[in-house]
Amino acid sequence: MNITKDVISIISNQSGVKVENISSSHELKKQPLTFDNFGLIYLAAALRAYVKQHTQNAKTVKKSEISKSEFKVSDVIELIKAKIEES
Amino acid sequence: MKYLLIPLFLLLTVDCIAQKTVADSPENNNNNILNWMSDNGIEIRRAFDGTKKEGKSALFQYVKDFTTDSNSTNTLDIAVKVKEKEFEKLRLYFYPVVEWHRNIVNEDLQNEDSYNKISASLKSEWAILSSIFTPLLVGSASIKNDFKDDEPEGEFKIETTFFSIIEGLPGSNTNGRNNNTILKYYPYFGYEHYLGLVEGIDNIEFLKSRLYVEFYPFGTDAIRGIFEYTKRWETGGKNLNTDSEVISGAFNADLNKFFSITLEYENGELPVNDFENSHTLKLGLGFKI
Repeated sequence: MNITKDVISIISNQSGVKVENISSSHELKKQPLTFDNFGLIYLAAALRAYVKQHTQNAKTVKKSEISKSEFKVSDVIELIKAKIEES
Repeated sequence: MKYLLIPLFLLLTVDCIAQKTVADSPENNNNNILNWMSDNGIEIRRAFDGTKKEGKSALFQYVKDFTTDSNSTNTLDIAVKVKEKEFEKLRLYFYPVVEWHRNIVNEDLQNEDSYNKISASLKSEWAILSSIFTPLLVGSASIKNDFKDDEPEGEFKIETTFFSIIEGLPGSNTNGRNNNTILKYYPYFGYEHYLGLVEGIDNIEFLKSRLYVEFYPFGTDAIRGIFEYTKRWETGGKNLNTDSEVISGAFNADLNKFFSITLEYENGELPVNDFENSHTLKLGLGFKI
């Protein structure tokens, strides 16, 4: 399991931006990802499904956790790593 | 003229606070007040009605009104969203919003084009499925007071739209050559009920459809355009003898992280103008968290 690669793949799938064009410094709400409110709902759902798949006591992922200002791809990776490693 | 000074004062104050806080803790930009508000789910916009107003907040606008051929420099639009309640497994969200919309033409609140409305709302969003193409329901219930005539009104709205991650479908990012987003759109279909809360004030109901298009002509966040077309069909209550139609467009250019310049055009029968026709061009200073 490579969490970094998997999370970038999920973000790529949800945003329509190719994996090779996603940088860890990209902010979720800004170019090129431009997740809006509805997009963040679905990104949170996809991340939740990923965490559930890799943990025993299903940790959740809330939209509010990834909606923070200037939240970057690297922050999402850290968040998911923390959730999986905690469980 | 004094209304020109308010946003400029705010601009300087907020920038100074932000810069001072960042300077105090250069290793942590998140320590400033505005980021704290954002991180705690408090947002400031022009409105939270799913329209173009939600994208940017305008504290002040200079308005050219083509209907009356008048100029107004006395417009204020601000909406504050408090932290939302999230039922993440159901993809269901509730949040309260307080809004203030004011347009006093020629310093005269009794002018027929003037309004001064404060409202409190409970809004909701529900993403029905978690599949790659799914409907969403957006609803709101509001109580508002127009201080022009001191008549409280109620408002109930429910709209459905669609979201997909498949390029070309509603909600998806349409990307340009450099992989940046250049277009995103949502079609909406819904029902609106405007409710007079005192005797003698008419109710009015509409079915509506709306197309919302957001575009980034230069593939950058700094310059963004929004086009919107709304059509309402009166289905009950007060007989306006006409269906309401609104065409609007806006361009935003960011000055910094929180402030922007907004040029906005509106033509049609807007709810905020009690469905009277208005035709305006507005130049504003926007503030957004």
